[in-house]
Amino acid sequence: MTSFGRRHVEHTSMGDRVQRMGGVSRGGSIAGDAGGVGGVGGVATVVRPGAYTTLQDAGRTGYRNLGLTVGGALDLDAMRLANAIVGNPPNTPALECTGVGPEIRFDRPVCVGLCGGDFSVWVDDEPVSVGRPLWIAAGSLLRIGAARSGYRLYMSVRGGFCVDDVLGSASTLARFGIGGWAGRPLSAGDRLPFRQTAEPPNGRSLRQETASVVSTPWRIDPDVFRPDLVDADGHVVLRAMEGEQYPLFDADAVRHFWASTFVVDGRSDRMGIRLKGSHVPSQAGSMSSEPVVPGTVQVPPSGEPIVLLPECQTTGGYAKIATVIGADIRVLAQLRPGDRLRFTRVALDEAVQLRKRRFAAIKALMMEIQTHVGDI
Amino acid sequence: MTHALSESQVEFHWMGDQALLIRLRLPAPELLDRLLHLVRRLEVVFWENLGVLEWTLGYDSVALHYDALAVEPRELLARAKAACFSQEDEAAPVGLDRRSAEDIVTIPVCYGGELGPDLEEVARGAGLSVEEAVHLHEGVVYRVAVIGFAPGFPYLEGLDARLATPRKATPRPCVAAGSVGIAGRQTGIYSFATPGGWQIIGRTPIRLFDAGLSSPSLLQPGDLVRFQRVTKEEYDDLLRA
Repeated sequence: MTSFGRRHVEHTSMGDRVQRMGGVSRGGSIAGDAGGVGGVGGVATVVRPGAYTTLQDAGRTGYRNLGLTVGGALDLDAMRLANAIVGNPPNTPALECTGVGPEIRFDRPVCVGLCGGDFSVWVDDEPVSVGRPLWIAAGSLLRIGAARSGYRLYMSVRGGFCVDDVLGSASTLARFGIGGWAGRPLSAGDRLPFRQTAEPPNGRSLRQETASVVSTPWRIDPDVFRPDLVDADGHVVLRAMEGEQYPLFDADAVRHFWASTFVVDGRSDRMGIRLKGSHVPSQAGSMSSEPVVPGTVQVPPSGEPIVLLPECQTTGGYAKIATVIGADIRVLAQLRPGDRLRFTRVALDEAVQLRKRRFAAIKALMMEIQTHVGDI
Repeated sequence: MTHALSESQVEFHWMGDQALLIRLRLPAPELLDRLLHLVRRLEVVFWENLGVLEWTLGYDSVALHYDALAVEPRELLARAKAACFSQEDEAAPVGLDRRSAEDIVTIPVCYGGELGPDLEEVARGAGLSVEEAVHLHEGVVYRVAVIGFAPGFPYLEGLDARLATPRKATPRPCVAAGSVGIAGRQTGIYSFATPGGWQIIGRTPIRLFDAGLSSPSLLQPGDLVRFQRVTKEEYDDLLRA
């Protein structure tokens, strides 16, 4: 990710075209009915739900001692940036798409933000690129296809979806039917109200992309959502610290763990990523329940590690050989079945430094976006 | 009595840059009390520190979840050590430490039958009649050690050793919410319908977790619990209530 810090916002060379267009045409298919119904901006109707699409925000904190997982967006940076580009507060609930996204029709004009993995996206039949705000005309169909790279894409709408918080969060915890949209992933026919219709403003820096889409000439550099570290073979390298039972693994097991390449198994979900392709001999066995965190790498008796994600259980009983550092949780979120990865060891100080550096970079990017969004 | 711990009784482990695990090396009879006491100390020590987000209790440990952007790990560790090792603890209000008999949560259970399909197997393994097994299970006051696995799912300590039964060889794909189970020396209650491998001996009509309440879990670590046998008719009535 060499460009990071220098090229957050990629300026395309479309400035002259914007000039020629003399700003944005407010006529034609962009013009929709202004205003909302009953205090609601509009309705997003789910035509196809995608592989697994849920409403997520920053998660539910404060209930882990009652067995309730934090959950929330797995790639928090992507969710927050999706909100930033439409001018929302960073933790506004957004849709998390997994592998293949949904098709959604809007009954009113809307401003949508898409950030995260590199997914194919169309509005009606025209391809559009992600990482920037898209003003979509009323009646248009947003079609989020398959991921070309990465695995999770976040979709925000300006003003946010109208959903109630449950225990302080709108995150969907589908396993227990808690929060989000009816406590479950989206299904065809769902009608999600959103708060705000959004006509494209008379911004001098906007351009008409297609008949029904207006966007900005800038977008977020897709590298922001890619892993920090990739080895010579193109495998993702996850930085991890020694886990709570690290000393219980013998020298061979430990060497094997740090040296092996693992493959992401298809039986992975929001709770955790199952790894295959290499076995870590475990003498540590099981222990009585003790706390786990997102990033915890457990080794069950089978020897195939499980890396926990933000929707993991609060406690677990398998031996924990390592913990993926906080800065790399968002990298885990973008791994898809079949991806190859390995682990590299870091100490606490480095982990904290990396987290601070990532946070500072994302914050700077959000500030920059704000000036661009404010400019529109 | 002093609650201060000695250095040999405590281990600290970093759980990445996200949490600090504090493990107590103490024998079972006093372990849970000392853990709960430590949690109360930690809540005071970190009262004003927004960088410490929450805690999770394990059988012999407590995890302090923190935000490395808001609190320096070294400061966190120093303060956690102070909470563990400081001696100025004589004035701990005794009345708050132990719950009185009135605070025992009574949980109605319909044992056996279709609601408790493994009761006979548990009794047989213990060399007891079904009647004796139920009597042993409901005749004890348990303590909630850990809430985990699912929201509001209590792991209870205090099970009569004769009832200890290994998990099922093959877990069930779905265990109904309210199912009361045994796994080894533990007994517990499924708060949600989930896959599970515990031996199911009965079911309670009581809801253990309601996300619509500001205090969503019926039970918390340290709570006292007693089971009370009810008939199928009473179970059905309670379920409807």
